[in-house]
Order: sequence, then C-alpha cells, then structure tokens
Amino acid sequence: MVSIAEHKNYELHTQQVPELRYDGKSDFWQWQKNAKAKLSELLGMDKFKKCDPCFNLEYKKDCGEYTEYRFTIQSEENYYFPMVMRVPRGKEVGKHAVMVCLQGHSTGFHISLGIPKMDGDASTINGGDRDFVVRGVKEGWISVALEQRNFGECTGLNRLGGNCHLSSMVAMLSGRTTIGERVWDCMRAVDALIDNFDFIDPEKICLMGNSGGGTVTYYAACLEERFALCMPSSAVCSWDMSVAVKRHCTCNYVPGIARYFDMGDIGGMIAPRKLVIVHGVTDVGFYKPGVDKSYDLVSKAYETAGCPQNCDLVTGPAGHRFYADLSWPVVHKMMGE
Amino acid sequence: MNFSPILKNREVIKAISPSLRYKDGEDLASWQKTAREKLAELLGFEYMTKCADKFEIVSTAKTDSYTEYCFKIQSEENFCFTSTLRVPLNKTGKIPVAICLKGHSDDLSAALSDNDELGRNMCTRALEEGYCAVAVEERSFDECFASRDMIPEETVKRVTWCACYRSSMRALMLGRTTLGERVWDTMRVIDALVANFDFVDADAICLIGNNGGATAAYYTAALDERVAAVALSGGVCSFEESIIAKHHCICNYIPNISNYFEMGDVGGLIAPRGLSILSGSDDEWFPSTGVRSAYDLANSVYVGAGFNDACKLHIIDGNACFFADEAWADLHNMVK
Repeated sequence: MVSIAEHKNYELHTQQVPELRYDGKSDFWQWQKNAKAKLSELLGMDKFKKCDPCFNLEYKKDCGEYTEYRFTIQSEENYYFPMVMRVPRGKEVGKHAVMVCLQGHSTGFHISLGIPKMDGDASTINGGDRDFVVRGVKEGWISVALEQRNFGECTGLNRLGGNCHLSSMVAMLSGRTTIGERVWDCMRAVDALIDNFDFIDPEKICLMGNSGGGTVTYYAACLEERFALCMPSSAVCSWDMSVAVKRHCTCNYVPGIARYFDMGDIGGMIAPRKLVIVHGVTDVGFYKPGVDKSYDLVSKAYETAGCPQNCDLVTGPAGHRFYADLSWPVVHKMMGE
Repeated sequence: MNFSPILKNREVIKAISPSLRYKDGEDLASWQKTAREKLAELLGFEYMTKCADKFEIVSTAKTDSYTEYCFKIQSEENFCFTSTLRVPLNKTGKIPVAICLKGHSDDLSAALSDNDELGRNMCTRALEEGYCAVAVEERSFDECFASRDMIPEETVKRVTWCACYRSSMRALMLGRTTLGERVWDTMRVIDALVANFDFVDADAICLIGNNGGATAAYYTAALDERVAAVALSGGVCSFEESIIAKHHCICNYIPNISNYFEMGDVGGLIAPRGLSILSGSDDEWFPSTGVRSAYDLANSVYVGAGFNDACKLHIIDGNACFFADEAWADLHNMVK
C-alpha cells in the first residue's frame, strides 16, 4: 500500500496505456491527423494568434567565411525574439538548406554561436558540441540560432540565463504551455526565413536541438510540416525514464499528455519527414532503456508509413550532450546535402 | 519590444474574462452546479475513483483533555494516508469537527502541538473551542512526501520547497493536480468521520486551513457541500497578486483555470455556507490587496444571493500566520 504521493503518481504513469497510441491496424494517416489535433490541443496551440511579424534586420556583416545576420521578429502580439543566421560564403546565391538550432537550458543562444558571455559558457560550448551554428557552418549549411522563451535574452530578467518556472506555470493557468510557445516561435521563424531570405530553400528547412532544445525540436516537427528533417538530441525518452522519474525543468511538462501519448508515440507524427534521434548512452536525465523503447515505437511508425529509412537513432558514447561527428553524416545522407 | 515571456503570459491572463464568473441575477444553484462540474474537471477528478476505504484505527491514546484516534484510510486504489482525530473529553452527544490542513511545513507536529509561533497548532485550539480536531497528512507533505531515510540531508533542509515538485509534475502529466488530490483526500476523510465515529455531528464539519492548507480547504469547501464552514488564513488571494506575480510552489497551479475562474470566483461555490478569509497585512506571498480582491469577488456572490453575513474578511496587522481568534469567532457564528 503506497502512502507517498509521488510514488502513487509514478505508479499511475507505469500503468497508463496512452489512449492515442497507434494500434498498428487502423489507417495510419488518419491516426496521424487525429494525433496532431490532440497534440496541438494539449500544447495550447489554439491560444496563439498570428500577427505582424515586424521583421527587423539589426545587422548584416561580412565575417569572412560567412555572412552573419541578426534579426528580430514578433511571434505574438507584444512578444519578440532574436535570431542570428550565418550563411557560408557562396550560399547567398541560389537556394540552400538551413538548419535552425535550439539550445537547451543554458545561458542562451550565444552558446549555439560559440560565443561565451557568462562564467561557465566556455566549458558548455567546448564540452558537448553545443556550438550548433558553428558546426553547421563548417558542414556547409546555412545555420540559424533562435533564442527560445525563458532562455538568454528572452529570460524575462535583466540578465542572461534561463528561468522557466514562473513563466511556465503562469502559462499553464491560461491553458498554454512553454513547449507550445517555443513550438509557435519555431513556426514563426520558418515564416521569417522564407519571407525574407530568398536563398533559403523552403523544401529544406531543418531543425535541431539538444536537451530542452531537443524536446522542442521533436514537438515542433510534429506540428510544422515545413521542417524537412528534425534532429532532437538528449530529449526523446519515455516518461518513466525521464521527466516522470526524476526532477526536470518545469518547461518540460505538458498537462495531460501522458493520458494520450508517450514520447515514442509522438514521433509517428513526423513521418514521412526525416527524424534523427540522438542520445548518449550514459545520459542520466534520459535513460537509455527509455530512449530505446521510444525509438522502437518511432521506427515501427515509420515502417508503417512506408519510409523506414527516414528515421535513425544515433548513439553517442557518453552522456547528455550533442554528438556532432556522429550526427551530421546522417543528416547529409538523409538530405542529400 | 517585449522579450519577456512572463510579461507576455501575465498580459494574456489579464486579458481573460473568466467564463464562469457568476453574473448578477443568475440562479445561484444552477451556476454552482455548472461551475462545480468545471472545477472538478480542472482539478482532475475524472481521473480519481472511489474505492474501498480500508478504514483502520492504527492507534489510540488518552490524555487529560482528549481521546486520540490515529486512523488510516485508502482514498484511491493503493494510496492511503493517516489522520489524527482528537475528541474533547468533556463533550457528549454529537460534537462538531474541525478538519485542520496546515499546508507546507516539515511535519504534522505543528498542527498537533500545544504551541506554534505561526498559529499552526490548529488542533489544540479546536479542542479548546469545543470541537473535535482532525489533522490530515496531506499529499506531498509529512509522511506522504517521502520516507525520511530516502531523502539526502541537503534535501531535508529544503523540504518545504521541494516536497511537492515531483509528485505535482507527475500528476499534471496525467491530467491530475496535487490540489485535486488533496481535495479528494479531504473529502474521503469526511466520509470516514461520518461513517466510523457516531459522535461526529455531520452537520457541523468545518475546515480550517493555513497557507497551502487554506488553498486546499477552500477548494474542498467549494466542491463538498458537507463542509458547513471554512476559515482560511493565507492561501486565498487573487491569482494575479499571488501565483502569477511571484514564484509559488508548483502545487498551487491548476492548468487552464484562469479561463474559467479567478480565485474569488471559486469562493462563490461555498455560498451560502460560512467563509472566513484571514490574512496578515504584511504577508508577502498572499498580499492583502489580492486577498481583498478575492474576498470582494466571493462576497459579491454571497450578497447577490441574499447571504450578507456569511462571508467575512479579516486583514490583521502582521506577517502570515493562522489567526485563530478571528477564525474561531467567525466559525462559532457560522456553525450553529
């Protein structure tokens, strides 16, 4: 007999069979349509309204190997966020693929740019391939860093850094979620890239992120079909081996989601578009057995969708970080870029 | 340009008119029925099921002034908790009951103690007032938090902060809420009292609550009409000036509630039963301006329905604590 509240709730998690798990028999595409509708509702996507993006190019500067653009957009009435894009030399002519990069919980999107601004940033950048834009440019891709809500310049405090708790809980009161907000911003980022930069190939917009950024990458790809490939790292893992078993940031939690989906069920919504799941075998926030069983569900969905070659699992030898050397070859192969 | 998500979220909520706010002239019973159904849904009641209570008296004791029963009940399949009932020795016949919810604190001893500098010795005072007193182990507090030997020492020091987190977030993912769980458990305590102790006056069951316990008592009284009156210190304050303005424990947040209710709207569900709202003028967590705002909303329902004296507010000089003198003065008037 349980008398400890968190144990009771963990027991409920282990007993829960997600109501919208694909049954393997019914029409897959109809399932996907229904699942997307439910996911959209759970994330609170009906609470957002498109508005004038007020696109503002703050600067464009020649940095030798690449040209750097910094711009801001308004994603909802009275909410703005910045992005920095680096375009490798020669890629401002023609149409080219782009990788949008999402940091996880760190001091901000300057980490993706390889720019230390606060104490500890240097080791964050060097210690886990978190300079996503730097690497993306080396791989020959246009790469964009996007500042997510509650991180960095969008932390809501007069300092850099991350602080999700209050904003996440207040969002929930109105039926919104922080993940939903970040997904919405990703969608508006796609609008901005297509509308303002004619060298972006709209058929080859990709999204990647690590940890909290990986979580958003995964959800955003479900609901935004313009992402041709998504690469969530250190994020895709069953609830019972990640957010339900140990303390994670408030922003990870979507009210009611475990009733309908586990993490592996959600990946089926991305098919047939490309999905590269990255994880480290010794990640202690997202345990390997949970990653494996999530990927098992994802790969079955892709098989049903007739495109098993469009998903892959990249396993790194260490812990919670991105694995650029292992992951980028998979991206090149899948995208032909 | 606003780059602050919390400012945006506050702006979003400020623009909401709660859709289930009581309207002047509306039939009270009809509104309460609809509003209670929605509140129960928001608290996650559809995911909680009644079960065999497996009532068991764990221990008894007797002192000069009371008899004590420590009893255990199962409120959901495979979840049980204990409550401590103290019965004054000098009473006969049917005796009124005060169920005491003390909120965030290290353990139940505050509620059962003879003295507490924050007034949380609610059971002792209830006995002095001629009531039976029940101290409830609330979810994520006390023994329902975790076994002490499971917690690292550095965590024990932070226990009042971290106690609710994991349980609350697990609950949220399942469509439940910690507040809903506490309300549910309190309702099951009422079931147990009525079913097992024939000296309990079922028409005089009150709830008294402090801080997080006040919040739970408030929502319980809103949903359970067997609660004759409720006295709450801290915890009843507009969302705008409390949980939206600053960092509160996770357990306070109910997903989607702002679309239907502000805190004061919920108070209208307690009408015409007694509602006593108490607050310290210097309470930094539940500021008195927000408490007054919640009271005004709740009282507008009481007055609109013709119950002019059943909803009371006391703003008392000083910091947050349980203001027992004012609470008991109101309860004696409200419960006849």
